[in-house]
Parts: sequence; C-alpha cells; structure tokens
Amino acid sequence: MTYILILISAIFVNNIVLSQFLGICPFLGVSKQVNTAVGMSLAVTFVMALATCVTWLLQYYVLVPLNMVYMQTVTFILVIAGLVQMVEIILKKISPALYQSLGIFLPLITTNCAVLGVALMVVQKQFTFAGNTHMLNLGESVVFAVASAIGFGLAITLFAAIREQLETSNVPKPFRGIPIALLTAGIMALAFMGFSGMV
Amino acid sequence: MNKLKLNLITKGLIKDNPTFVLVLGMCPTLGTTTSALNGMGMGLATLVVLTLSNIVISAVARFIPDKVRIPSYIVIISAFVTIIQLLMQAYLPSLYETLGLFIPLIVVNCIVLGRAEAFANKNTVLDSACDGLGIGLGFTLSLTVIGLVREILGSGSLFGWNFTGGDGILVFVLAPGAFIVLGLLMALFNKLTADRR
Amino acid sequence: MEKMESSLKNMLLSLGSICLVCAALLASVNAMTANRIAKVQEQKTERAIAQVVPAFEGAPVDTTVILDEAEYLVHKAMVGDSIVGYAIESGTAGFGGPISIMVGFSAAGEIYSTAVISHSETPGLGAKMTEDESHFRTQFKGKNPAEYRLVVGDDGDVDAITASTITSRAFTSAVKQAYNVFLAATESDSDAVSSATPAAGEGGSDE
Repeated sequence: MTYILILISAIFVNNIVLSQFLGICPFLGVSKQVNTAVGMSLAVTFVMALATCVTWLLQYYVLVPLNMVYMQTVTFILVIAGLVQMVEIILKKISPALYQSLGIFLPLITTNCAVLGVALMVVQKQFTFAGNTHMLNLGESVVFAVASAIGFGLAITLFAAIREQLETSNVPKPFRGIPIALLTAGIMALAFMGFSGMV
Repeated sequence: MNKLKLNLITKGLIKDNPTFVLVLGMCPTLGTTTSALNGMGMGLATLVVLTLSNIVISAVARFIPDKVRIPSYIVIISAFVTIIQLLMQAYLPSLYETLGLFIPLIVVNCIVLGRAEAFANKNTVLDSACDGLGIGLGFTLSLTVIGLVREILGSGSLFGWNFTGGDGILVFVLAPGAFIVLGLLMALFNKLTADRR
Repeated sequence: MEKMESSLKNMLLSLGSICLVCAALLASVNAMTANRIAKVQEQKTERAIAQVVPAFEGAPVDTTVILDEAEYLVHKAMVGDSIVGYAIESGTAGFGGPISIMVGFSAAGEIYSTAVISHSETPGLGAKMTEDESHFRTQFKGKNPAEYRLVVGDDGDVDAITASTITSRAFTSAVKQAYNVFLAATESDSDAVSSATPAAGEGGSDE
C-alpha cells in the first residue's frame, strides 16, 4: 500500500519537475522531440534508481556511523559522477545498441539536479504516507526514486509533444524559444496542481 | 586594465545575464523565488560559492591533470557549498529552512561548473574572482527581480511589507506562477534588448 | 608553468590531495558550527515552549510519554514546585507533508496556546495556520477539550481555514493527539506529584 502511495505521490502530486523544480535544465533542453525526451527519461530512471540505492547505503552504513554527515553533498555528487561514468563504460561493452540510444544523455545526467536532489531528499526529509511519518527505508527510497524518474519522464514527454506542435505555430518574436516553453510548462504545472491533496 | 575588470563584473548584469541570456541554473531560479528576499538570499549564496570556487580553481587548475579535471572541480565546489550550508544553518536558520534542498543543489547548478570550465581554469585568480562576482551579481539581480514580481502579484507585499493589505493572486507564489512569471520576464527582456541592439 | 601530465600517478595524487584538503576543511568548519547549530535547534524548541505555556521559572522539565506505541515529548513548565503548564509536541500528516506543532495546556487542562514548529503546507493557503493572530489559531485558546469538540466542521466546534480543510483537520487532530498525551501525562503525574490539580483528572473521565 505504502509503495502505491509513494508512486502516485511522486509521479502526480509532487511531480519532481512541475512542483519541485528539479531537473529543469534537461526539461527545457532535451524536450524538442518526443524521441529524445523518452531516451533521456529512460537514462534518468536507471541512474536515479541506482544512485539513490548506493547513496542510501552510504548514508546509513558509512556517513552516520562515522559521524560524517557533513560530507554528504561531497560524497553523493562524487558517487553520482562515478556511477554515470561506470554505467557509460559498462553499457558500451555489453549493449552497444542501448549505448547508442542512451549514451549521449549520460554525461548530461551528472549535472541533472534531480538525481542529486532525490538522493538528498530521501535521507533528509520525513515522508508521510497513510498517516504515519517516517524516514524512508531502502526499498521505499528506491521506489521513490523510480517514481520520481517516471514523473520526470511523464512531464518531459508530454512537454516535448506540446513543443513539437509549437514548432509550427506562429509565436510572437520575443516569446520564441525558452519564454513560450516556460509559459507552456506553467500551464502544465497548473494542470498538475489538480492532483494536489490526493495523497 | 581596470576597465577590463569592471567589464568582467558588469557583463553578468545584462549582456551575459546567466538567467535571461544564458538560461542557466533554472532550478533555483524557479524554486526559490517565492519572495524577493528568498530570491536574493539564494542569489547571494550562489555568488559566494561561485566567487570562491572560481578563485580556488583558477589557482590550482594547472596542477590538475586534464582527465580528472571535472571530478576535482566538483569536489572543490561541493566543499564550498557544504561550508555555506553549515554557516547558514548556524547563523541564518530561517533562510536556510526556506531555501532547503536548493542550498546543497548549488553543487549541480550549471552556472558554477560552467564558469569553472569556461573561465576560471584558463584565467588569472583576480580575473576569475571578478568573473565569479559579475556572474553571481547578475544571478542575484535576476532572482531578486523574479522574486519581487512574484511577491507583489502573489502575496501583495514588497520585501515582506504588505502594502496592499490583501492576499494577492495566490497562483503566483505556487509552482505554475514561477514558470509563467519567468517566461513573461524573459520575453520582456528579449524585447527590450532587441530594441537596444 | 607546464600543465600536469595525465599519468595515473598524477591523477591519483591531485584528486586524492584535493579530497583530503576538502575533507579536512569541512571537518574543521563542522566542528566550528556544530555547537551553534545544535543551539539554534534548542532555541527553536524553547521559543515554541515559551509561546504556548504561561510564564514559568527555570528550564522546563522534559519527560517522554508513550501512547499507542508512539513517543511524545512533554515539557513541564514549573513555577517553584507546582506545574503551571504542559507543552506537548505533536504532529500529523498535513496537505503538503508532515506538520509538527507544540500545544500548551494549563494545569487545569485548558489549551493555553499553540505554535507551529515545522510544516510544508501551501503558502497563502494551509500555511496560514502559522499566523499567530489568525482566527483559526486563536479559537483554540482557553478551550478545554473535555467539552470543546476538537473536530472541524458541523460535527465539531472548530472553524476551518478557508479553502484549507485538510490542513485545518490535520492541525486539529494534532491538537487532539496532544490532549490525549496530556491526559496520559497528568495521569502518571497525579500518582507522583501531589500538587497536580484535580480538574485535570476529571477532564480525563470524559474521553
């Protein structure tokens, strides 16, 4: 039950892009075509789940016992950067086809603040599901990471579909490019607000 | 010579404005500008990290082999971010609570790593400091302006002073308002600078 | 000066030394600020306690009460040997996330005042519960939950914040929870402390 609540909450209610403002750079940058948007979301899902798993273990089995929580940001970002490199190398070796489709997005993910954001969120914030408030355990954290990534994927794919349509419409000159994209995102965020209070 | 340094500092305000021209660091720009003061606080925190990391990176860049360049910069930047984080927690607890997650996320703000890569690692310490200061000021200015507009429209107040006596149009302090205000301001900026050119 | 060559030795050496220097720097800054950060947290709790109970002397006496398998912190405000108020930390799930509040009771069991410790409600809507002078928060003052029905809407006596029913319900149920803790705390006190007022015991029989 908790897992389902986490899924709904992270995908719709607290959508990572449209209500938490994380991962805006790829959201604006890699959303001109639906194909690339889908590729990016797959890569993000993979890295986010892996990174959250590793950083959760690091936090509770290394940093907390050693009393070094202040090294959190430094270690987490290094782990994420290292993981992205590793995934890139492994993918290149074992599945060149997958590497072809996901590879170009991987270097961009290190600076995707959604990945670090989710990793920090699960160890810093208390969550409330089904009336009880607690820190997430490992399983819940990974589900939360995957759900957040799906939320990211949903937002960026829908957004890309709208932007493809915008390409052919006549937009006033000062609004062309990023401004009209931001306004579109604003209206999407308004729509997603309809989900609030659901969980 | 001095004019050059001044140029470095002022170019971030309009010509190379990180928000409106370079479109970098969008996450904190949208996430923390619920009021003018919050936007300014976030801008200043970024300014400090940017200037310090620019100084240190320009000083040590030649001792760092090219292949481990990026990880080294990330470690240096995240160390400064953590220092700011600890100091804010100790001396500005209420601002720290409002900005929340966005303080540690300065690490992945593309502006900071971007300036390290594009400027600090091939320029002198003094120039890099000016560059960091300039871009940081530009960032602070844009965040303050966005925060100001959202605060006036959304809560009917100005730097916390409620001059309308009312509540304002709530949607502007919520998530959709952030996107819409930034989009409109960016269009306005485009319009104004297009005329000037 | 020449740029460093990217040999394995150089790479390990430079990255390693950067990490070491940064770790040392952070450790020292952490050591410098740790006390102050702890103090800031303490002050926050102290301020919340002072806000919700009548004027008291010295430091409040802290006890923990276990109710329904959950632990609650009860701060007893004393003047001399008698208890003038109980400040109880309580919390529930709000609209945007956990809400944590401090509820103060007089020794007789009336709600003296309330304070919000932390929350993540929507600014301009649910977040209005943080406004000390708002009708929503003042309506609790001086009420005794023994006869005042702590429920929002038609079945109870609490008026909700406009357009923020979920937040209002959450806040109210947290107050109610605090009252249950208060009853449990005074029950154990009346055995130990003879100065506990009888009114508090009577209030319990109604629940």
